[in-house]
Amino acid sequence: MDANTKITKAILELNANADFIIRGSSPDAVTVAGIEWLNGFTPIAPADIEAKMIEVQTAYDAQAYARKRKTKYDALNQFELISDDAINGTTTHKDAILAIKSEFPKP
Amino acid sequence: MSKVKIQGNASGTGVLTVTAPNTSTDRTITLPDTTGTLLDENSSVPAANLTGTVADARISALTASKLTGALPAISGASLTGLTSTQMPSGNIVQFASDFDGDFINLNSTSWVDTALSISFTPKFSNSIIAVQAIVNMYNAGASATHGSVQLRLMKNGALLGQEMILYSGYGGTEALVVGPFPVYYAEVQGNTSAYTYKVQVKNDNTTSGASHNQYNGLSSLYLWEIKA
Repeated sequence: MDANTKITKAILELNANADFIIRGSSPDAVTVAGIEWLNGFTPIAPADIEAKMIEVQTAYDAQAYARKRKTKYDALNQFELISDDAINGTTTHKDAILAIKSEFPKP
Repeated sequence: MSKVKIQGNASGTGVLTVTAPNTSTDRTITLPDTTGTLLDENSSVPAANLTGTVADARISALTASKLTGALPAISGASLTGLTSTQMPSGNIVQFASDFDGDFINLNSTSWVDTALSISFTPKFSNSIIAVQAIVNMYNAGASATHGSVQLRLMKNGALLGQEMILYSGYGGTEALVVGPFPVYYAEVQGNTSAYTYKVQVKNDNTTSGASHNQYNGLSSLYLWEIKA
């Protein structure tokens, strides 16, 4: 997750109606110092944003296994596996899913 | 010793008189050691016999017919009185550019300045001022609506030309519109005052992510003054 995404998520979790832009040299190089509040929106304290950013990062990291599983799931031709299993009486689909779950266990 | 011989002319009848000036100083006039005729104020002098520097005061006019062949280099800084009439129509009088790689996350529906900015002063009031910006924009589609972003040229804080809108499709972050987008305008300014040109961007709908300069590559702003 780049810095821009992390700051944006943190702000919107603190206030979904926040009106702001963030300036920086790149999406990964922005900081809370680059936030500009617009249209009279009351600024959120930088410390509050930074604390929320830690929570956002923790939540993101906790879903790492799910993102890895999804990548593998998307690579499977699941309809074909299910059909083959129905025709042949095999368990290739179930086996493939279990193998992915085993490779990336839920913490 | 050599001698001085004064000889009359058998055909003439006039009397040639040699007179002394009104002076109290002794002088010696040395005759040239060549065969020829002494010159007076009415005599013609062959140009080939001239040496040294001809004083400016001796030159009354320099006609165009004399300005041929290998002319000396003349500094452009020495030229004065240059006006628009000396330039053919369509010539570029001057050019300016600015480049911007700074990122902006657009989580607002307000117009915001990019870092692109040029202060430009035309040389001639009737010139055409052509303005072009090429702006890197990123807009992710929202799950249930189009995303859209806009860009525009500004001149001293006022809109120049029209706002340009870019739409992304439905379907979340995979329905991207991303890349460099151009916006142009051209006008006759009508004076030679300095104006500041800028580029502004905005996100129309914050339910879809939008940004300026999301990826590598510089956005740019160009101005040309073109002779009318």
